[in-house]
Amino acid sequence: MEYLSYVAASLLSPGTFGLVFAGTVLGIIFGAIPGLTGALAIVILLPFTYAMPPEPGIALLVAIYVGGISGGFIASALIGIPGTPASVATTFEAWPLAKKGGVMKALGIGMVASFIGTFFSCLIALFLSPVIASFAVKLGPWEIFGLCFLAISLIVSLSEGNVTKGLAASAIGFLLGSVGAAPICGTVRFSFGLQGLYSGIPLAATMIGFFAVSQILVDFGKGNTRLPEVTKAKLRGLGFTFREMRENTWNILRSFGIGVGIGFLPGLGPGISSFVAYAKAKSASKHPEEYGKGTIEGIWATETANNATVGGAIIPMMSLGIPGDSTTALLLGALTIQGMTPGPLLMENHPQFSYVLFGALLLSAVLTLILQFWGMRFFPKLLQIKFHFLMPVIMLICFIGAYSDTNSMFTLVLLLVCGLIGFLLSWADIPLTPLILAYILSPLLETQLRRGVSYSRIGPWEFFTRPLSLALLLISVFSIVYAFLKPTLKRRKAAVAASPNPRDGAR
Amino acid sequence: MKKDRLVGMVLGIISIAFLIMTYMLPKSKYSTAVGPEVFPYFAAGGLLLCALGLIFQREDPKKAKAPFLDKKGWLRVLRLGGLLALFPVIFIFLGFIVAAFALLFAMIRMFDAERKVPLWKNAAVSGIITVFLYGLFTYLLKIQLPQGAVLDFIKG
Repeated sequence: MEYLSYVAASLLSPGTFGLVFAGTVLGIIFGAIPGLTGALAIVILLPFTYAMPPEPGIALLVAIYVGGISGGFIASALIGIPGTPASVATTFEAWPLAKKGGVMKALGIGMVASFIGTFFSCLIALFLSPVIASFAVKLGPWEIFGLCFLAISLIVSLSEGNVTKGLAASAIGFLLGSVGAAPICGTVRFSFGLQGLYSGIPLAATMIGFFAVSQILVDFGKGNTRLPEVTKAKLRGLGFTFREMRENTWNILRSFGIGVGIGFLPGLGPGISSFVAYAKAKSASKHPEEYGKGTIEGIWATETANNATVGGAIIPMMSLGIPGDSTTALLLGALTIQGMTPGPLLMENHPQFSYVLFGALLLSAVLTLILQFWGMRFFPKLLQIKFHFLMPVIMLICFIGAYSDTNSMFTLVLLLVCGLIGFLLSWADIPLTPLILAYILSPLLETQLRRGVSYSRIGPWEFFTRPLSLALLLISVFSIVYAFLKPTLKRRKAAVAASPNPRDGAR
Repeated sequence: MKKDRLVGMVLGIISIAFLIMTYMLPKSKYSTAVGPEVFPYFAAGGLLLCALGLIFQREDPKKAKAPFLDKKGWLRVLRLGGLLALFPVIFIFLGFIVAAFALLFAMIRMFDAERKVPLWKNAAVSGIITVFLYGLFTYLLKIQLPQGAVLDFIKG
């Protein structure tokens, strides 16, 4: 409570409020346009925050995060294409409902469910993060190493299709993170005599290169430069009744719990939470046969769950300094650029800043609801933005962002190199999320590894003798091994299911 | 050659190069029990194992995927890549305004495959955005964007 007046004064000052407002609008726009995401908007807006004090800078970026996750359902309802990966499951119901003439209902439910998910999950994060952080400051280097290792392992284990490639991506991330002065001793590694690499590959160039430049190259190569036609409909009112909402109370609560829980676990994210919530809603429904034909239960479930992951993912980011997904990894990078050290000490050393961040999350959730309600009639126009104007501007801002991070032309070259590597990795089907997470966490991981061995009398064995550290490492190893075995187990299960039952033959 | 095998071989070469560079790192006077070489050894060693995994893994013939890009797509990427590679050069010699205008103009032309945007409109949009971004960064955010080596030379 002691920080309430400070947070209110900070967020309601015209400058910061204007930035949160602008960030929310931009997040919704980027979330709504298929092919663009809130993460991309964060990358693009990152250079604008260099010259800002930390509080308004981070408030702008978290507002984009909230708007970006929420905005994804707009394209699902209007053109049948998810705006973001988080809204894929929403499309299953929102698009059939829109085709039946229920565009307004789909949009209205999407708006309110998004608000419920984001606002209340961020409230939980606000109260839970300090508790977890106060516990986390008591952890030694062994446990922090285990936590970082677990975060990366979970993300790798979810690499779709090929776990080996996920592991390769994280190894590349570690190698990129090893460039420049080593932590603790300062030995310069892999700089090839280039002064620009002495302090490592700049974070901004890496993030912008891998996320934005490579994506622009892939999209242009694939010819993804146009959007389909928008469904024309009269947009008026909220679209659904209070009774319809009350009938979905348990569905909303269950999906909310799924979203927060999945958001908290590193590597999972809004895409997965919305699918799990959708599956649960369908299995619990009295009318499962209606699913896929435009039932509102599905939209309540998916939109509440994917937005509830925002608060869930913020908890480990704020209390442990571990990002839950690629977007929180970018926010973590932005905190580092602003001179903040993410982790349990952030809340202890900079409580005012931390509470402003939570306040910005809550404020942007409210603004998202208001803006979406007010701007509903403009959504069809939003989806008619011409790619041939948008993409060049994004590319130019990427260049400015990379340059202004270090004021060095060399960073522009690094940006293009990272973009090229990102493009080649996309060609090779190697996922970028484990790479970025490993790159961001590698200094922390290496520091804790070296400290852990130095502080111990038994050397590296200390990592395996401390209960929490051992448990975290075992879960990490198990998640990777299970991910490797999963396709084989699935095949066997399918083979058993397909084979004729010997009892049937006996009859 | 299958794509994964090729990827595995390239990653294998990269990992071996990093292992050699790590071996050649100077020993630090301040290094602890775990020196600056241990972490890169783990990373490069892990990458080598992944590379071997990709080279020797059995490929599922049912998993035949559509090609990543067609021939025209690769040509498009090459054109855009070339343009982006030119940007830092123009940026250094002619400064932000010329480089930004040229990049926007060329990219709008490239992305507008159906040639619906007339040249005058393209030039006007590129010019307005360039001036807007220059003003925003230079005057509002106080981030200096270079004028270019040529102008610096003329000014002495």
